Amino acid sequence: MKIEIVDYKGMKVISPAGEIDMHSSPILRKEIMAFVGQRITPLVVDLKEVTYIDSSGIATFVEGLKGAMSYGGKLKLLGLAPQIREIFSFSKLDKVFEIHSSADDIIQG
Amino acid sequence: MPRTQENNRFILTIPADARWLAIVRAAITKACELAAFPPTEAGHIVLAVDEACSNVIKYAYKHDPFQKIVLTVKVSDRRLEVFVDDEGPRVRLEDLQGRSLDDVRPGGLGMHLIRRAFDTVAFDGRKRRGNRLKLVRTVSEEKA
Repeated sequence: MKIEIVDYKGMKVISPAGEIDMHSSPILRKEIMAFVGQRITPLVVDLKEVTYIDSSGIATFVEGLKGAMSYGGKLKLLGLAPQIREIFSFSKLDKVFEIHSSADDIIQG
Repeated sequence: MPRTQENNRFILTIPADARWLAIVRAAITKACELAAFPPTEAGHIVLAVDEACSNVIKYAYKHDPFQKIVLTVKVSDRRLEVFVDDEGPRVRLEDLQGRSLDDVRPGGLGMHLIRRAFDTVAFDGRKRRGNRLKLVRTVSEEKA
């Protein structure tokens, strides 16, 4: 998995690419929790290049969400492929996370 | 030993290190293709076997990468059997039940994903040392 931090119209976006599993999720966790440490909000993660996610990846996002909520911040996800969205739906987390189709969708609020 | 019973299975041994999970997923993906599982069911199965191996790494071996996980995969027409063997301390299925899906917190999702994918999820109590998790799935009729 590769991770890029993209500046999109003044908004910092974490963009992982590839497979998020027990091996790679600690790398993603480090990036997300660095944003949480800076109290950034919204904390945006673009998943359009992510092809696979397991429960450790899901746990990473839950941890990031709880961290953001601790300072009144938000964690927003975008670009979920159907197989990724399906896992969020199965775990009932699609109702907990704000899921958007694009970064512009977030900016327009 | 009857030859016909030995040409439909393979054994994959990996170090108990998460970087090898991608190899497991690739092998199970191909096994699902051979057993004629449709893509959605195959995706669930691949994720579930990944979760089973992750559980071994975390709970049986406590992240000791020098241990080994042995996967025995039996491929039949429209049926897959996967045995996940480890030599860690005995684990009970009750200890791996996971959280309620309504309880939003990190962790506890793996067993839900395993139970969703497989018709049979059971530890083989006859194994004398370590654990043997048996996972069986037949292609769903309505999706075939």
